[in-house]
Amino acid sequence: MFDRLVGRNAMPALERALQFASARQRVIVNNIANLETPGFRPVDVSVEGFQDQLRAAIDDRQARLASGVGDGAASGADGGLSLEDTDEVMLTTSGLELTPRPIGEGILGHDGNDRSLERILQSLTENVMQFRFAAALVRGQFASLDAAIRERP
Amino acid sequence: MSGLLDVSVSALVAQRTRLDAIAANLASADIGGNPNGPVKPPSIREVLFATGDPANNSELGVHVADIREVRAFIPRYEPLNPYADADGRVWYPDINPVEQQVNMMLAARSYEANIAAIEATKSMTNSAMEILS
Repeated sequence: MFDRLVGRNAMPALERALQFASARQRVIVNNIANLETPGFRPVDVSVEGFQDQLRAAIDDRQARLASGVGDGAASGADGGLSLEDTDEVMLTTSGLELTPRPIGEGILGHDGNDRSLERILQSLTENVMQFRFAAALVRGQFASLDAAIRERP
Repeated sequence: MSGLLDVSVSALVAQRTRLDAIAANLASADIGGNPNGPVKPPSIREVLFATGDPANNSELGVHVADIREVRAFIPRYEPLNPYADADGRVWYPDINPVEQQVNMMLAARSYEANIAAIEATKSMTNSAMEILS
């Protein structure tokens, strides 16, 4: 697991993770903006679903690399990481496009809004942490590249 | 990444508009008049929210769909008041101060929640900037 996060082929996966977190941030921020809007139902996408999707893509690339296709399997604009589209997460030219679903929890209020501020703020915090985690790893990748170029740490 | 702040700021604007209306309601609670005379009592303003942000042509965010003017009055018997009607009644807007205060708290808390969302987005943007440094 760890070598896939910091290894030489980690950048495409980290890029997807950053794209997912920034697309999901838009969904969460919209939930917070509409806390008091009558008839609004908070929506979200499944993080587990995206992680399964990403894991499948990474496993697929590892299998192709191991089966002796060579470095060609890890080349191309997407670094050989082909994310299978699901009905929630779709890869477009401008990043990941999310199709969030209503998160049906909480008691439906008199205004038809089943807000749950705590849950929404929890997903906000988690999402920011995931983004910062991926950004720190990307930064580490660039630092190792930098060290390799300078030939000293 | 772009446009994340637009969504939160649209909510800040909407909640502030709501606070303005509540402040106006509370301020005008004691202005009396005669609905059928030259000096009319003020009506109650109710702010209605809807999803979407027409200012940015976006489906995300929130905006003030309408500010409803509710003309509901309650009479007080004040025959010496120059605004009194023929029966000695002066009409005041039927403002429920408790209801207004609860709405004021909700608007303020919602404003704070959106400030928290802006802070979170800012910290994300900052860590993205650190990649470049």
